[in-house]
Order: sequence, then C-alpha cells, then structure tokens
Amino acid sequence: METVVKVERLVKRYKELIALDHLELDIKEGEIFGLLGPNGSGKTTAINCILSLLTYDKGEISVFGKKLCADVKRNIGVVMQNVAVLDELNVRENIDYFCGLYISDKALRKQRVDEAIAFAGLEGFEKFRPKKLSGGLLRRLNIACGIAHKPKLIIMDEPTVAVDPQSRNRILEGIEELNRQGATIIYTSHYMEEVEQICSRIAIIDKGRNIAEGTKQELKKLIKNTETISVEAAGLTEEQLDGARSMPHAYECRYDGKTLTLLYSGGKHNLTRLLDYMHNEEIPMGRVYSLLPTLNDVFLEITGKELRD
Amino acid sequence: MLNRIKYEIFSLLRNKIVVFWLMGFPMILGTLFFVAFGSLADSEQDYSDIRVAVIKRTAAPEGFDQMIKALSETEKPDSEEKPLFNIVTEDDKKAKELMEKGELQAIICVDGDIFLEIPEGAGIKSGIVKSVLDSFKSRYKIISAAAVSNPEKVPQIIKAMEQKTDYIRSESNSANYDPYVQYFYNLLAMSGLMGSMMGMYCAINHQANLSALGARVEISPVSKFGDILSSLIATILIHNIFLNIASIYLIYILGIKFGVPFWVIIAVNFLSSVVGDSMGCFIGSIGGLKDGIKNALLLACSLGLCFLSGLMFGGMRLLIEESFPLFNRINPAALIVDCFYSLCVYGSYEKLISNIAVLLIWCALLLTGSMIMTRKRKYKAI
Amino acid sequence: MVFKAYLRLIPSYMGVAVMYMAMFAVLLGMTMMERSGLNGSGASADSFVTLLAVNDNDDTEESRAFLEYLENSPNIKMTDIDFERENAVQDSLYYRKAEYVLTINKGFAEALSTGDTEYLLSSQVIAGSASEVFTESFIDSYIEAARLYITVGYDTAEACREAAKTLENGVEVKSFSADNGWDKENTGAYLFYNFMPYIMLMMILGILVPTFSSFLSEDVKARSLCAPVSPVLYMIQIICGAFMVCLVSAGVLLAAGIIITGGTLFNEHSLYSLLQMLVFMLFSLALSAFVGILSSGSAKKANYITSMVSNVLGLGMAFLCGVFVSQSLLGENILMAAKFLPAYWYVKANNSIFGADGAVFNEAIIWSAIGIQALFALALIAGALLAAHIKKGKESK
Repeated sequence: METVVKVERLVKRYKELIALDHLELDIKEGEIFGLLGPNGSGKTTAINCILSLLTYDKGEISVFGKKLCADVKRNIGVVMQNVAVLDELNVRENIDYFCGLYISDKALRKQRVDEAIAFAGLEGFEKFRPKKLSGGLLRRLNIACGIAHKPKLIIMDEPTVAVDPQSRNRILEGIEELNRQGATIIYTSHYMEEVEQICSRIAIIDKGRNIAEGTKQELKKLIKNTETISVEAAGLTEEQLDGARSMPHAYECRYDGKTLTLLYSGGKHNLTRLLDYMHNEEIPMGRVYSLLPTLNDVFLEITGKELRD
Repeated sequence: MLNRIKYEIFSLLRNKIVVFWLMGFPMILGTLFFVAFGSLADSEQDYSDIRVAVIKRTAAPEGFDQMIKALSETEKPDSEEKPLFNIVTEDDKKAKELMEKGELQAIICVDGDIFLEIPEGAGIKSGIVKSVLDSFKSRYKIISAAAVSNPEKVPQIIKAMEQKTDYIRSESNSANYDPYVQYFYNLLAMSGLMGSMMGMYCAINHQANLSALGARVEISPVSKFGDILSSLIATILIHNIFLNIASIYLIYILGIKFGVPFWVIIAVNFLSSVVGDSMGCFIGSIGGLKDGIKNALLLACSLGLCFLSGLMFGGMRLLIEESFPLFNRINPAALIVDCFYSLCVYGSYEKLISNIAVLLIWCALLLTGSMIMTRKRKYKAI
Repeated sequence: MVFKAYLRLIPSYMGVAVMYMAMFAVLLGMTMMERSGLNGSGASADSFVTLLAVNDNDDTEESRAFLEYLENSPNIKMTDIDFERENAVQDSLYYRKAEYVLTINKGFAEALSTGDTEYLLSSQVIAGSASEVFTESFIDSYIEAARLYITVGYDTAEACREAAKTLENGVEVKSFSADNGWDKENTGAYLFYNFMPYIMLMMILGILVPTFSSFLSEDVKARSLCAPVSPVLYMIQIICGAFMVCLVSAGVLLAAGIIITGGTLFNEHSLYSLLQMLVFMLFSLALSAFVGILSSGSAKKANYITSMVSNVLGLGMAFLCGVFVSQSLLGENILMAAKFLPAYWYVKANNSIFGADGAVFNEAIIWSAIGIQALFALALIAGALLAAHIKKGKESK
C-alpha cells in the first residue's frame, strides 16, 4: 500500500513549550487512521503542520509523496475542530462556496454539492442559515463543506464534539462510507469508542510524541491486562481471597465486600478456572462477567490516569 | 474567483450590521444634518423682507418718506425679489405688541429726531435698518450743515448724492459658501473610512491564524493573493454601491447642493472606499490582536480622522490648515473632503487632482501593505 | 449577591463610557471656546457682529481712518487672515472665520480726493448673505459721507474723520429687552446641561444594555432563579445595581463638568438642572432596560443592537431636540415632531432655567417639562415590563 502522509522527526516549539517532539507518522492509502491523545497532546498542531498552516522547527512532511502544493491541496479535505462556515450564507451556498475553492467547473460542482448535501443528510435544510441549524446539523454542514470536493485524503479534527448520539452515528457511518469510496482518512478524537469503532490503525500521541501505534489488537497487546473478571459474591473470607489471588495469570485482585474483581494478563480458560474454584469452595455467586480490554484501558494505561489541562 | 466574489457579495449584503453602518447610518445622519442645518442656512441667506414698523409722531425730515418708500418697493415689481423693508404697521401700539412677540425686527420712530428700537440680541436685519438710517441721517446732517456754512455748495452736494457710484467691486465667485455642506462632505468621508470595518473581515476571514474560516480557505488550493483580492474586490464593490446610494439620497432626495458634478462624487467615493477597505484589511491582518480591539482601533482611526477633517466641528479643518497644513495634505478624510471642497469653493480642478493623487498614493500604500501583511501562508502559531 | 455580581460586570463595558466621557469633554470644551470667541451671526444672545477681514493695500492716513471707523463699529469684529496663504480668503469665508473680506485698493486716498470713486474697494463675500448687505450699506454710508465732506471742501483726511464722526452719531437706538435672566457667565454651565441628554443616553445605553441583556438572558436568569432568590428580589437587585451605575456616571460627568467649566457649573437654579438630570437619567435607565430585554439572549446581538439604537436615538434626539443646534433655529415641523421625544422637553426646560435661546425663566414651564420627561420614563418602564412579559410568554411556549 502506498504511503499517503509521511511525517518524520517533526519538532514544533512554541517558545519554551515543545508541542511536537520528534513525531513520526506513516499513513497508508485506504486507512482510517485514528490520532488519539489527551487535550493538548499536539494532535491539532500536528495536523496544522501537515496542512502547512504552521511553521515547524525540524522534520520532514510529505503528502502523496510530495511537499504540500496547490496540486496536493486539491486532493485534501479538512473538517476543522471549530465550525467554520459563513453565517450569512445558507447551507447550499456555504457548501458551494467552499467547494468552489477546489472545483471551478460549475456543473461538476453542482453535482458534488448535491452529493455532499445528501451525504450529510442536510436535505430540506438547504435554505437554512447556519444560525438556524441545531448543533448536530451544524457539525454535519461543517463536514459537508470540508468533503464536498471528494478529496482523496480527509483530515477530520474532532468532528463530533458536542453532537448527539444520533448525529454522531450518522457522522461515523458517513466516514466509513467515504473510506469505502476510497478516501484515506485521518481522524482525531478523544472519544475512544469512536476511534475503536471506525479506525483501522491508531496512533496515540502524548506530549507531542507518538507513544504507540498499530491496529486495535496490536495496541491492546501493548498492555498487561488481557481480561478482567468480576464475580458478585458476598462475605468472602481472607483465605478464600488468597485462593483467588493465587490463580494463575491473575496479577491483581480487588474485593469490596460484594464483588470480586480479578485482572489477568494472558492465559486461557481463566474464567472456567475461577468458577471451578468458587464452586469447590462452595461460595454462592451472583452475576459473573468477563471483560476484554478496551482502547480506553490502553489509552489510560499508556498516557497515565492523572487529569490533563 | 467570480464564484468567490459572488458569495462575498451575498454575505456582505446579508450582514445587517454592515448594511446598517455603511448605508443606513450615513443616510440617517445625513437626514439629521439636513434637518438641523437646513433652516440655519436659510436664515443666513434671507436678508430682505425685514419686518419694520414706521411710526411718525412728528413730521418726518425731508427725504425720509422717499427713502422709506424706495426701500419698501422693489425695483422690478413683478419679480420674485422681495423689497428690503416690509412695513408691517404704522400704529404705535400695535408696533409695541408685535415687538413684544418678537415679530418685528425694528421700530423706526420719528419724534423730532429719528429713533430706532430693536429687540435685544437683535440679528443682522436690525443692523441693516440701523445702517440705512445712519446713512440717511448723515446726509441730512451734512446738507443741513452745508446749508448754513456754505450754501453755495448745496447744489453740488445734492448732485454728488444723486450720483450713484459702486464703490466696491465684488470679486466673489459664484461658489457655494454654504458652510453646512462640508458636513455632508465629511459624512461621505466617514462612510468611506468606516468601510475599514468591512475591510477588516477581508483579512480576518482569510487568514488561518485569525479565524477557522481563514484556515479552511488557506488549506484549499486557491492562491492567497487571489483570495484576499477577490474578497477586497467584493467589499469595495458593495461599499461603492452603498456610498453611491447614500450620495444619491443626499443629493437628489434631500437636495443637498454639493457643488460638484456627480461623476466627481462617484470617483471620490471609489477612492475613499479603497482607502477605507484596504486600511481595514491592513489593520485586520495584524496577528495577536483581538477582533474587538481591531474594531475599536479602526473606529477610533476613522472617526478620529473625520473629526480632524471637520465631521463634528466644521472649523477643524481650517484650524489645522492654518497651524499644521501638512496634516491636511495626508489625512485621508481631509483629502476626501477637500476633493469636494476645493472644486466647490475654489472651483479648481487642480486641487482636486492633487488630492486625488495623494489618495491614490494612500490606496497603493494600503493595498500593498495589506497584501504584504496577508501574503504569508505559514504561521508560527494559530 | 445579584447586586454585587451585576456591579462586577460593569468594568467590562467601561470602555464605552470612557469613550463618551472623552467625547463629552472635547465637545463641551470646543463649543465653549467657539461660543466665547469668534462667532458671527450665530445664535449668541448678544447683538450680532459681522466678521470682517481687511487687506489694506493703500496704507495711507485716509485708509487707516477708514479702518478705524470699521473697527469702532459695535457690529463689526475684525478678524485676521493670512492673505499670503493660497485660498486663505475662500477658506475663511467658507468656514465663516470672516464673513466679508474687504480689500482697500492702492490709490484709495487719491481716488477719494479726485472724486473718481468707482471701485476703490473690492470685496470677496458670501454672495447674497445678510452680512454682505449690512457691510456694504455700512461702507457705502461712510464713503458717501466722506465724499460729501470733500465736496463741501474738507481735505481728504479730515473728510474721512468727519464722516466717521457723523455716522457714529447716527440714529439713537433703544434696545427692547425682556429680561430673560441670561448671564454670559453661565455659558459653560448651560452648554454642559444642554449636551447632557446626548452624553448621558449614550453612556448609559452603552454600559447598561449589554449588562441587562446578559443578566436577563433566559439562561442566566433561570440559573439564578434556581437558587433561593425570589424573582422580585432578583429584579430589584439588578435595578439597584443599574441605578448605582447611573448615579456614578452622573457623578463623574458632573465632576468633569466642574473642571471643564471652571467651577461655574452651579448657580441659584441648579437644583432644577440636577433634578432634570436625574429624571432624564431615569429615562435613559428605562430605555436601556427596554432595549436590554428586547435584545436579551445573545451578547453579540446585544452589542450590535446597543450601538445601533444608541447612535440612532442619541444622535437623532440630539439633532431634532436642540442639543446640537438651538431649538430656536429648528423648523416648526421638526419641533412638532420633537415634542414626542423627551430630550425636547429637557432642552426646553434647560433653556428656561438659563434664560437662553430666547426663553425666559419660568417655573411652570420647567416643572411641566420635567413632569413630561418623568412620564416618558414611566411609559418606558411600563414598556420594558410588557416586553419582558411578552418575551417570557413566547419562550415558555
């Protein structure tokens, strides 16, 4: 697969603050590439550098194998974090205006605008001014403005902030649809479920560095935890707890008087083994559940749990 | 590019704030100026038809009646010209009443000698009456004195008196000296420079470091120069339409006599819009200032310059002309006003052309300045 | 609490107030200068003067005698023009620095003595103005008298002096006066109170409308009312806060006025003036509440509406009601329309208080004018309440 965006040893300083610290990214054609990171980790800065809106101190960036120029830009679509539309123009005019920056042919543009309106589900709102749109519709307009010209590379910077679940699903489905049509997508967010749901590859950025990269599965392998089993069981004795603690592959055991939680790292049949043990000890059980690690766990374990900002 | 200009125009026309401040406000202010100054200008021009009462308690001196008669009749009775005096009454009591009501400018009273009664704080009309009577009295005195001392000279004196000579050669041109028109000149200058508010958004909406909208435009393949230019062109176009509508309103609906041909107004409006809009673009493109501060800066700039060219106090421009003339040569507001003024008052195209030349230099400087300021595509920080 | 929070909002809108304060100071200062110094056939309460500039190219005994005659006239004020400067004459005429520019041509004295008196002077003047008629008649009388004296046998210089003497002892003038109580000393104070409606309205609207609209916006109000504060108390506290702001603004304006007018701000009628100010202040307060309620919801909208409304209302009232241009100079139709604006009554009362602009001190007029302004304020308060009610009704639907 061809590389669409390549970022090498990218360094960006704001006076003393190092926003990007030798960032490396390699985004292949056809991917939905998730860029994850806490607030202030440098996601937006990285994107602005890729778009060459920002100067940077060191490093190399190439898009479609070239430095960014007008020809390359023609194939990029960007959905900004902030809604950037003209208040005085209605939905159709806004899309047409921004599409017009890329496509000068009128007939083709009209077709693209129609497609974008359909894609974003804005039918019936064409004559509305942005002020009259709800939050979700406004976000969808923002997206439509960014992708109407059918770019090969779409960069989406947190497009679903403050959007209701219905709109969010719609947006996510749309992104997958765009991907199926052949667009490479860079997607930044700090909503783990979204990234987990749609991204084929994910990079986790913190303090301007790329600290982990890979598919979901690859990332999950990076952390110790592979399975978490919880059992509702009241009144366990210390001996019984010791027994649970000494289960193979279990590395942590928590008990709050009602629920026993065991964290496992590797191993098969952990659940069966635990249930057998409980059975043998004749401990009455309530609900039992086993959870696989989520991206959230990966994220929190890698970036640490302390609050940001 | 045309597409962009089209949408820029749409968005400007739909922006109520822009339409209000650049078209509505000048028209409202113009109407207010008109209302307030209209009657002032009239009162100054109207010197005939002075309302007087002539009361004769004793016999009038020789020649008095003829004089009064001459002044209260027009030379050409059928013309619209009114005589100098309008003798309202010859009744003593009625005159007093009218005087108390403030409806008389003078009571001429013959009671042995000639007396004049005028209201306190009297205007120039009462002054004219006094001057006429003084003149009459002095002739009377000279003749009476001569009749006693050198009676042989009397016929000569009367001959000299009857000989009508114009002592004063009028070198006035037919210029419109209505001082209130300069407020309308200033009004147009203000509307021109206020365009800087629109110009500011040309920069802000197209600079990635100033707005998200700007970022969206800058990541597109269009050239930055063409982008800002199309935005400025749209702004200048709309601005000119607003300015010319306001001018038409002032001239053809309110009937303000600008004293210059309409094409001069259109030309000067064009220059003032370019100066105003590019000034806005120039200041707007400065990074690191909040929009509100830029707005205030531009407002202070345009109103300040207009203050100095006489928007609030008509005499301001002359004051500067006398003490610091160079400033009037470079203050765009004063230049705009002077374009109209010099043509109207001096009747000279020479000054108009030199003013236009300086305005063109301003346009060039500000346009290049704003293009250089907005030329950058990469920013240290966003 | 609400009261305190309200006052805390104020500093963010002080910029407007500072701007208007500065404008007020400049306006007052400039106008005072203008009124006290040169002023032509304007609205001053004194007898008129014509501004005359003379360029004496002859510079003989006769021409100087003529000049002296002109200077001695109570109705002529000599003004200097820099005749060297290009277009100086036209500029001076246009801006009424001079209303009549007279040139005494070279050979003035000689022409007088030989009797060849045609065009011995030349003039540049605002064509058709009353000043022209007056000045020309004034000069004509003099030259004629001088000519006659020469005919009688006087020598030229003597004839000139004699002519002046004769004309200066012209008709006896009695001036008819109604004592209106105008005192020149009070010019500054009069102007201060006269500009007050404009400045006060602009300042109060500028500060209060944005604060009202943010405090009365449904979100903030709802959040505040969730707390144990009664709605009535909430409103009362906001109004108290606004009132405080108004009082402070008025105080600052008065302080500035005292400085600018050099301590002549108060006289025996000043209680009326202050009462007027207070009533007009209430009107402005009510107006800003009205506008604030109408525009509550969005701060951006509020700012835009404020500047629009305050400029149109402020300037409109100022021009129509006689703040910038005396009422006596405004047309009748305009004054008829202006009666529906409180500033008209304010200015009317102010004229009466100072005996200015042809008015006479009259308590009845002053009281009724103040009463009418109070009615305007009450009507607006009612309007504001109604607007709030309607808005609430709309939003709860």
